[in-house]
Amino acid sequence: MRAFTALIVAALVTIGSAASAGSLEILERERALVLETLLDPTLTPAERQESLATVRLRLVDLERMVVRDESLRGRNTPVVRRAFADYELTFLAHTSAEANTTLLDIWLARLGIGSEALAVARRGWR
Amino acid sequence: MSILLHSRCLLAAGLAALAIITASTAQAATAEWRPQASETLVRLSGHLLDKSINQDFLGSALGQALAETDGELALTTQTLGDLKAAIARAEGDVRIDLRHQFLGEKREWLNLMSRRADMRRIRVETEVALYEDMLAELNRGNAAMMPARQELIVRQDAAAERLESSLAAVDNAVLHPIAVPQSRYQETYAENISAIEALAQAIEAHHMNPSAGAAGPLTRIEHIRAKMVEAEAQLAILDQEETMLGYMAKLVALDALALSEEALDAELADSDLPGRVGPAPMVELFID
Repeated sequence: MRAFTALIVAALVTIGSAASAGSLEILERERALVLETLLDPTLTPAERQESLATVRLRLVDLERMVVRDESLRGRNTPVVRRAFADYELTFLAHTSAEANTTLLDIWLARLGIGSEALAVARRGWR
Repeated sequence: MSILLHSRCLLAAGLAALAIITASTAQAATAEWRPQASETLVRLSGHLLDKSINQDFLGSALGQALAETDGELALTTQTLGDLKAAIARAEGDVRIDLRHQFLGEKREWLNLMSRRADMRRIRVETEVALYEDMLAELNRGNAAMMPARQELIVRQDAAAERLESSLAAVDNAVLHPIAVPQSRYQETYAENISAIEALAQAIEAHHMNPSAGAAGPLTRIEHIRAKMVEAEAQLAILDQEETMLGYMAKLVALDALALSEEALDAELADSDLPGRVGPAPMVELFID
């Protein structure tokens, strides 16, 4: 009976911490791949669009997983702090959908570079 | 002569009753209870915490000694009642003998009560120390809630709120243009969320969950503080009870003195020795 009670108590204590711990790391890896795809000069616009369509869906899922991941709540590490310090950059897919713009625009905007500025830019030696 | 010895025994019994408290303290000190403010214990909510501490106490040497003393006390209390009834019916030497036994049982009862009070005091003091350790442990946890962590939690809450409020808009923007069905994660998540809400409501309504929604660290601290106040009240009551036991012991000693005096008076009354020896009663024998 005592062992049974201990089992219930242990279950109550441990259930809360059963969430995945690596969701943020996976999101960051996927986001890096998205950015790599966006900036890959070897891809044609069509290839880039095709590749992004799938990756973007995965990114949306991962962003939701990170926000709902209870194991990240209050975890005061540099990685987690940095992730939540800049919502637009971390949750790139949601921000771009909210703003009805592209992932690249959001990313460049967070870096202080707008697509209009890029359009008028010229290639040359400095 | 035998009555004289009898009365001396009674006196000794009364005096011994006065020395009960110091002796029983030494006996109570041999039984121990050493609970630890473990992490598991600190995490328990009020209802389970009380049960766990009580269970731990009952299994300890002190808990067993207290239970044993309670059993002995019940028997002695019954014997005292029986003796009192027998004294009311008895007469003469039998009555004196019964009164002697009654005093002896009273002394034994006081001894047990005093030992019990000491063990209860040790229990309450140990509980207070345990609660203090638990509070220190919980406060250490709260101290870890530094401003940076608090700020992070605020940001996380804001992020969750923003993301959840934009779900429909994001689904429209991402899924609809390319006519892609929801991912497996999103489908399963939506199904599970309603099940989780139903389970949470069941937990809230469960009869074994009296402090539903109040099991956070703050309410745990409040519960422990309430228990500490309760323990202090028990200590104050124990002080009163010990004063009562002291007065009872003094009464036993005085009863023993009274009984020994009564026994001496009875002995003198039965004695053949003349009460007063003087020449005047003898005058008639000398007048012819």
